[in-house]
Amino acid sequence: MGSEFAYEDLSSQEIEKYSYKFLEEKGDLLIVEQDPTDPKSGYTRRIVTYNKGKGYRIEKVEFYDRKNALLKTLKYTDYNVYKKKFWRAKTFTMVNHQSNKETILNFRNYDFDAGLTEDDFTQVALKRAGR
Amino acid sequence: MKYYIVVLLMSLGLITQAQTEKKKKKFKQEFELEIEGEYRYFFDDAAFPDQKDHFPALSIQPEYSLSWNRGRESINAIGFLRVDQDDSRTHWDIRELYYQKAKGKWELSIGAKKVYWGVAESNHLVDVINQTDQVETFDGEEKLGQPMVQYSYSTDKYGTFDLFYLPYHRRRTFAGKYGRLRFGEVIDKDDIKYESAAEEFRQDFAFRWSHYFGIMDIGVSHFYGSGREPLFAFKPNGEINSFYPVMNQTGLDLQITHSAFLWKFETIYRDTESQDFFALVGGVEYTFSNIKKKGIDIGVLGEYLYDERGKYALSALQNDVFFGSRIAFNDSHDTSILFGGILDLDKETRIVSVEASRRIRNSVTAEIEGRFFSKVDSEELIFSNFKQDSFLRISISKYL
Repeated sequence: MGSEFAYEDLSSQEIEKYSYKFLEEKGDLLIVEQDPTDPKSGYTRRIVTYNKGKGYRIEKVEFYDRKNALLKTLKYTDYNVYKKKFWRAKTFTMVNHQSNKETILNFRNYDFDAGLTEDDFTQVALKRAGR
Repeated sequence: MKYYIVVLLMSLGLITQAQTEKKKKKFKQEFELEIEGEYRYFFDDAAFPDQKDHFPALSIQPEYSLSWNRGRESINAIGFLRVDQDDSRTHWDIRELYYQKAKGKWELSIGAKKVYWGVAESNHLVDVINQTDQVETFDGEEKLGQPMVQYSYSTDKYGTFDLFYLPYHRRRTFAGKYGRLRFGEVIDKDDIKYESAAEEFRQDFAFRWSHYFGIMDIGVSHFYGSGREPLFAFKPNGEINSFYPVMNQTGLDLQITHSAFLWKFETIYRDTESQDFFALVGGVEYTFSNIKKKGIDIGVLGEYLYDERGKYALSALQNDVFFGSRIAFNDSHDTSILFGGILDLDKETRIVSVEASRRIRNSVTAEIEGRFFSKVDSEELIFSNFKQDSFLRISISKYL
């Protein structure tokens, strides 16, 4: 809806969605190139920066379009650690370098051990939650 | 001393219990208010005396919900008030006011509620639970709140089962003396009688099973009770005898999602004392997405409509083709346009419609609707009354 995030950027991160190439290590930062395996992907590659010292959390993702030109940069900031191991960012900032537009997503009230069960994911339950 | 320790332990126990209770019983409230200003303009000369051309109107729709127990229990309310030039269109309604409790695989709702079934765009055949708020919109998509007890049970393997107990029937309202989109004779809602001696208080029941198998969604439903659609019998002297028949209606709805195709199909068989018939609507929607990488989606739709009642079909969709296009700009204004046309395959009746909406401020949306009746065949029992009733509607809504 007029956002700089594509569905592809928000969908779940699965190992098999990319092939990987380790690029370099800068202190705690590990830079990895990820090439989408889906031929319909909007990108040729993503350059992802992981932070080894902070539970391998992602600091930054650079998206390259089908013409291999830098299209967008996504930065994760305002990190908190939950349950001593889950790093979650409160702010996602996506900047589109070609249109100079940006979208900021703010998250709050991360809740772990929310006590959800399979019954909370039936069609009826999801409809109720979405109301 | 011993006594004190016991009391202390007990109260400690109570405190922890109270804390968990507190976490569980956290109440969440939401309130939203929509205020809408509307102007409808009928640009053709009225077919019947007293009918007006200009209809300025206002509506207010407050929504309130209170939920607790992590959303598993809630009270939901939606009210509606419309004030219009046409007295019959001035009305209020409790769209929803119900208590809901969910536990594990079941969900129970008690009160007035709206329930929608179906998949098709141009006609809503299987959707029988709520009465249509006929004076509110031309397409019949606005509904009156229906008092009910609804029990839903979800299973992993066998889909979802819904049982409805419907203790009260709501009458349909028709346009008044000054209103358009009516017959020559003004119908008062109390003019329409009931087949059942219990009238509004006939105790009705409905059942629905819905499930999905891979790319296919399926729903099978049955309704036994007073129909929401009145049956019109036209006497030779022009008098209309109309009533709500007791009916058994079985419905089937199917949707298949296959790449960018959405295949849709709905069919019903309705059995009443004085009439039984079957009707269907089926078609496809194909979406061309992210056109020219601008994020614009264009959907094209085609549907075929059949109703065995022929010219007595209240919907007048007895053997027709619908074609349409849905354009979603996916911009930050959420701009969308829906074009549609219905062609009668037997006669030359054509109905063309346009609906467009766009957010113009953060909490303000604008809508434009146009309905154009052209070449309405005089054989059309229902639509021939509306042939002068093409109109344009503009509305602006503010959300608080």
